[in-house]
Amino acid sequence: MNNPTEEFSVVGKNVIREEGPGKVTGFGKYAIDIEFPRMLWAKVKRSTRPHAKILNVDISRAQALPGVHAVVVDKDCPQTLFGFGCYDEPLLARDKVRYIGEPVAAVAADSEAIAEMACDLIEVDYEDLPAIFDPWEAFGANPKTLIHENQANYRRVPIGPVQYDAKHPNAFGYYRIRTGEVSKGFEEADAIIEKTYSNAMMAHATMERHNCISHWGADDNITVWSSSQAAYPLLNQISEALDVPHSRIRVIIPKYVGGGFGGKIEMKAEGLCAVLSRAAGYRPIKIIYTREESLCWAGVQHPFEMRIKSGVRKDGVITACEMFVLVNGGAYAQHGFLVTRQASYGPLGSYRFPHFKLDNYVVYTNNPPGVAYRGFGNTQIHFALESHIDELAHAIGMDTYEIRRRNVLHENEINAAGEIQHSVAGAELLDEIKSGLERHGPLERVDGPWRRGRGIAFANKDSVAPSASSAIVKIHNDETVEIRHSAGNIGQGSSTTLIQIAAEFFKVTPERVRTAEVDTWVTPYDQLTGSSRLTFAAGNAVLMACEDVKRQVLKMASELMQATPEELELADMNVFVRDNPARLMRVRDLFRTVFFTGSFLPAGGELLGKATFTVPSSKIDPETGHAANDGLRKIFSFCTRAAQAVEVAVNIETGQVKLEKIAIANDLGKAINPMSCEGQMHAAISMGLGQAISEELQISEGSILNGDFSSYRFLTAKDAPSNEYVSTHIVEIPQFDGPYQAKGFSEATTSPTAPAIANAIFDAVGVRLRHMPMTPERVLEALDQLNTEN
Amino acid sequence: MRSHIALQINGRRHTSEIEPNTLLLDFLRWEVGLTGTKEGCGEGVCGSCTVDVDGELVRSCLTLAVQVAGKSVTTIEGMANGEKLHPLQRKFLEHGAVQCGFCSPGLIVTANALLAANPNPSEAEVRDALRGNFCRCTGYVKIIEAVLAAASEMRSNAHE
Repeated sequence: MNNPTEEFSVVGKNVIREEGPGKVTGFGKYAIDIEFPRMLWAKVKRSTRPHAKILNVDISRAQALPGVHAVVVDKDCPQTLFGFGCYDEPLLARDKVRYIGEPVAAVAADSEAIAEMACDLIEVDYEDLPAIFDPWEAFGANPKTLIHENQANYRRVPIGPVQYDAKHPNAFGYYRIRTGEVSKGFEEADAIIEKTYSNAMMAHATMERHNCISHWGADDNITVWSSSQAAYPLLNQISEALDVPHSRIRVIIPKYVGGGFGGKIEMKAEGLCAVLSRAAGYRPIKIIYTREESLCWAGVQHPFEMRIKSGVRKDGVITACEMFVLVNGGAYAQHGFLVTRQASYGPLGSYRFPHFKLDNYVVYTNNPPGVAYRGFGNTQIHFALESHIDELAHAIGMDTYEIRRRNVLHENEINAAGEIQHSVAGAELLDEIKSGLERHGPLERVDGPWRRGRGIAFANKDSVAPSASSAIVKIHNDETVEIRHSAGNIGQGSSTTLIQIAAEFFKVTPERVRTAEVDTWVTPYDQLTGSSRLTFAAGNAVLMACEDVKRQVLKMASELMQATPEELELADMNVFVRDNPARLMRVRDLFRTVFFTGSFLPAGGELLGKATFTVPSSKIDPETGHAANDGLRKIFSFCTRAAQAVEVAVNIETGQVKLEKIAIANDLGKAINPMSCEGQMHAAISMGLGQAISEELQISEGSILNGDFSSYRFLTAKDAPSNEYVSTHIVEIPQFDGPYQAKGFSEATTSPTAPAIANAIFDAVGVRLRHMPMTPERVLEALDQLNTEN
Repeated sequence: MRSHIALQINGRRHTSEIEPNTLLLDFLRWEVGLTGTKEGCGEGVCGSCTVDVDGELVRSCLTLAVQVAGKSVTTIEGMANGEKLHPLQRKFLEHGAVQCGFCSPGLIVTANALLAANPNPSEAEVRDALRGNFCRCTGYVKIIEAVLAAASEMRSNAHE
């Protein structure tokens, strides 16, 4: 079925997305739109201190407010800790608070307004503790405060080297990679550059704010409707936080989810609302985070500090690279350790490093916690690396395309972490963006306030392994197909991708395939919507489940058709003898009808195929970070590469940067739905551009100053270049083990944008901005400094 | 003290008794049950809650329901003609202008007002009209395409 020369009838076509009509008519129900009879509204009382002991919480006035049905504090919650690999977080602050915005108490009331009033009536007495916001200060051996005193005893999932080190008692994650001897590599270099790059904190800013309804039923089962992007991780976290087994928890994610971008993986208030539900007499509890809560306290993008030292020969070959990375994790680990790990390996999928050394720590601070953010740290690390590559090119006077061509990996090459690289796109992407930008003619430099420049960047994103996805495929008695899978369709269009994969398999039109709503009592396990993994992992699981149900159909038909299953084939819901296609029967004729009660399958219950797709990984040496030479040499499921070329205009009087032209290229194996793929790629012009020039959660002493849409600078249709100057290049380097040779790519669409813009700013006005976003103030400051130096 | 309110919503008369401080957004979503109108920011910035009141675009999160008494409100649910999608709705689907879809209702209502005032807008005019509607997913490329395509189709329909 994976024959690349095969003509496809559904795969590769611009199929309209399954949930699209519900979205354009307004009739589709997002979690935020759901309400139930007797439902109550919840609000969270949050910490106003970055680091403080809780001396007392007085809830009596809140409880006395008419319309209030429950008020809970830590002692009303199970005394558990939950997390995502490092179990450090209580449902409500226990004994102390660690960031401004941390939940301290929660209220359920007849209305949102009453719940909010009740929160205002809760009095919390704090005793302030020293607070740390700077990651370098947190990183020291003798920091002025410990954010998690009991860290050494936390339960952890062992990935990589030992994660707790008493020498850095505020660090909660550490990865290292060692290849060759960097000092030798530096000796071979003609130029050595050492620079530090960094980024500000950014918000996911999903249009649908985090929200849920939790209902602790009188039968002791818990049902949750959530705007989450990952049903099973949420199920697992609710289970751990409430100490209730999976079987008693049901997570339902509506077909309509208003964005995720990594910000809706972890549990938010789902567990807490379940506690409130029981306390309020088993009534359903709804919470909708305010825009401020959603931007600031539901997880943010991690600020990174990245010091890179590289050596390069005059011919453009990189001889050595040494990186030290410090990640500001905020007050709880959440996804921090995994972001740190993914960022550590990202650069090794881009380039060949004969000698390489990386140390990457993530530290607790009293900032709001960081979580996964489209790219799992690769946006930050590639901002640094791609700016740095540009600096290397300028140091030796080499063309910026050429230096990348010299160093990009080749197919089947073993990278600096001992991993074999498959489906490698390098020069192909660079060629695409070059022609994409140059079709508008050469750069025209002009005098006046607006100066023009061009820049490029490359990026790699690895998709997590081990990885597992399950799928169930049912053929109904009307010969339509239902896919049961727990892939969160958060806007990327994953449902339609899976529909196209199944429709192609059965040779039916996509209208005859649908997906079930994600419901953990119905739809099977999926690891998560994240790491660009769904097309690959869920797609493969669906294909395998299709095979399974096909086997059942052929076996049942063989008994009716006097043929062996091996002699039969299935297409368009006809079963026919391969050598004599005129001998056929319809799949619907496998069903029997008795009287007036519908039809049934005489044996086997239902036409139900099921399968699990798993990706193993090699053992990783914790000392070197290398994949074992076990014949597999695999750390990740697959890698996906991206490249972008931009032209910017920089105003030397105001510091403003405008994106004028952009060429976007992504390697995606095979585009199952090209229109959807292009849509994902255009995120470069919104999220990527925002990251580059405007988006920043401004934080001072742990307090976010701009947690609303009027001051968090979100980009609009006016900030993007005209469509004429956007070129979108799908590159299909077949992924040998992908469904129809496809793979995911959507995280890598935003990584190259900021460094390409930084490189273009340098080209335009000669200043190098090593901190993103590159706001007008920072551009002006850099220009002033340049003028002073000259 | 509840206020009586009577108005037209998507062409049908509607009467209710509501608290006078009820926002139009909450009235539509929780009293009337029309949840297609979305709340993104609650402060009139993101445009997700845009509805049409007597031909004017209104941020329903900044408007009290009683302010639109006696007026005619069109929400996203009133855009289609029965089963038949409005050309803007169809073009949004055909051009892949919908991703998470949360901003789509506000965008479609806003674009509809633009096309009523200016049936043949340039790309720059479309960008101007939509600048108050945030979209986190699309980069606006396909939204602009869809609006221009719908405009073109609506012009040819008008000539038939």
